[in-house]
Amino acid sequence: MALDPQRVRDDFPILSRTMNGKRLVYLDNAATTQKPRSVIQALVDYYSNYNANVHRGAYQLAEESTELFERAREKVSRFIGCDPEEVVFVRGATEAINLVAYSYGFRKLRRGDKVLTTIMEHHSNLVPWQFLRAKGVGLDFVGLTEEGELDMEELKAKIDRRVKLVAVTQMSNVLGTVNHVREIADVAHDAGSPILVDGAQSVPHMPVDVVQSGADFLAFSGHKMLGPMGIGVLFAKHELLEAMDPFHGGGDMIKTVELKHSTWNDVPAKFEAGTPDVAGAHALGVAIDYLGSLEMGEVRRHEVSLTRYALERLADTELVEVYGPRDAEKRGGVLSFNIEHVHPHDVATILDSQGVAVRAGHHCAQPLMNWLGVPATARASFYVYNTKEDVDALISAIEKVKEVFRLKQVSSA
Amino acid sequence: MSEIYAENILYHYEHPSNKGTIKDADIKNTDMNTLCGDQVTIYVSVKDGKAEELKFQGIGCAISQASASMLTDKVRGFDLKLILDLGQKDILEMLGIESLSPMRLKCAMLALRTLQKGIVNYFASQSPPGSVSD
Repeated sequence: MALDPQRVRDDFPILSRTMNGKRLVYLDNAATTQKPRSVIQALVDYYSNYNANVHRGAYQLAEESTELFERAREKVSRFIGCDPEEVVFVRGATEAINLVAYSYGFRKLRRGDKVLTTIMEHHSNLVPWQFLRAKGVGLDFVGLTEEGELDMEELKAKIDRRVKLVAVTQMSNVLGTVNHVREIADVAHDAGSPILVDGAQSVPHMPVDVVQSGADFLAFSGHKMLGPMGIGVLFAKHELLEAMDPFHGGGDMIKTVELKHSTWNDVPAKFEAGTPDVAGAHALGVAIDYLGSLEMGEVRRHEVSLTRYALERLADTELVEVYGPRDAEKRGGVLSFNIEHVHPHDVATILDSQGVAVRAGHHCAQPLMNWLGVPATARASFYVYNTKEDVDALISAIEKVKEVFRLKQVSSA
Repeated sequence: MSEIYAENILYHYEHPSNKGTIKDADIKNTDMNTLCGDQVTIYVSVKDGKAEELKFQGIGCAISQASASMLTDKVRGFDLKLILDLGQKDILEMLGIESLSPMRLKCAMLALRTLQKGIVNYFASQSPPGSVSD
């Protein structure tokens, strides 16, 4: 059934707020999404009725809490098409990638090995790999085509046997570009390298299946897919998790502990030291239920149609430059743009005065800003509750920016 | 919110005073707001402990650039120590803005903070090694 954003909106209490006297038009979904009532209620419900530490107590409450936690893991695994034992709960995509950098990178990679990544990565899929340089591991980068798509020819030219990990985003958080993970994974696997996919922007917005995509690692955050902040997921293939060292040491990740030596718990517990965010995991499971009821294919279709409409309207708006692929099918609902003569921060401030919330800045992607040749951009990003009216509000607010900065006469000339 | 984009701010953004560099400046300091990428470099030639001439280079939002433009006008001839005493209140007064969100306040304060750090470095380089100043 086609997604009806008007009906979806009713499930999100925050969307009835006003901002500066105007209807809140929330267009910063690439940063974090709003939460439906069921997710908020899940947090309250957990702490009201189930709170107990997991994997420990032999009493019923602890068992119920553990069951909720493990049920959430199952929901995640079904959502991305893997086994529950391949789901590691972490704080978010950033922690997931850092886990791989430490537990896989430091363990498996040697001097002279290389990590191959791209210039469109979020800092969280770049800086952890820079840490490996201390070990003599090299970093190499695949560039982009003029339209902001990954240059597959360059990828094929740069991959060789020294590459021991390919790390790539499935969707750029700036350009919206959707990368063809299957194709990239085939290139990586042919060269004997596993592939890590940063799914922070893709998993919330399109159907993602790790078997189909060929991902060996997949990182994503709960809060960008209607879930709470502080919970996220690392998927890794079973054999990789087995071969990796633990990340954090502490409770729950051990099997036996002696004074100077310990043995590790089975996966995924080996990577989940300390008390996990059980309430967050439970609420993420509820967020996945909610997305499941909408159907991820419909979520994607809704965003493509909204993005196409926004691209058309922005193309008709003078003095506005939009970055990234022109074809809505090739991108996610992330639109970075600039208004000539106006700094994106000023754009965001004036948009805010019209109730329109967008992000301005470098979006944690400074190398990509350098490639674009701009210090920063404004960015509007969509989700399931956004409507064409929201896009219209964005366009009117952009006209307001031009008015404040006295660019109006120029535009009508 | 758009009342912060008053005539004086937009005027200084579009027609900045003192945009440029000073060759052999006594003080030269660059700083940026990492979050937003606003960047300012301030050049000062010093005479008798006073800021005799000031220039700036920068990229960034209207608030940060107008602030740099107005500040380099305002403090010309000021004793360097007096500049170190300036704060948030003085900048908002200079800009004619009553209040700013914490994010935008950083934009407004960038030029002064950059200048003040430059002055502190200048004083540090002036005192001979090992000397004790009160």
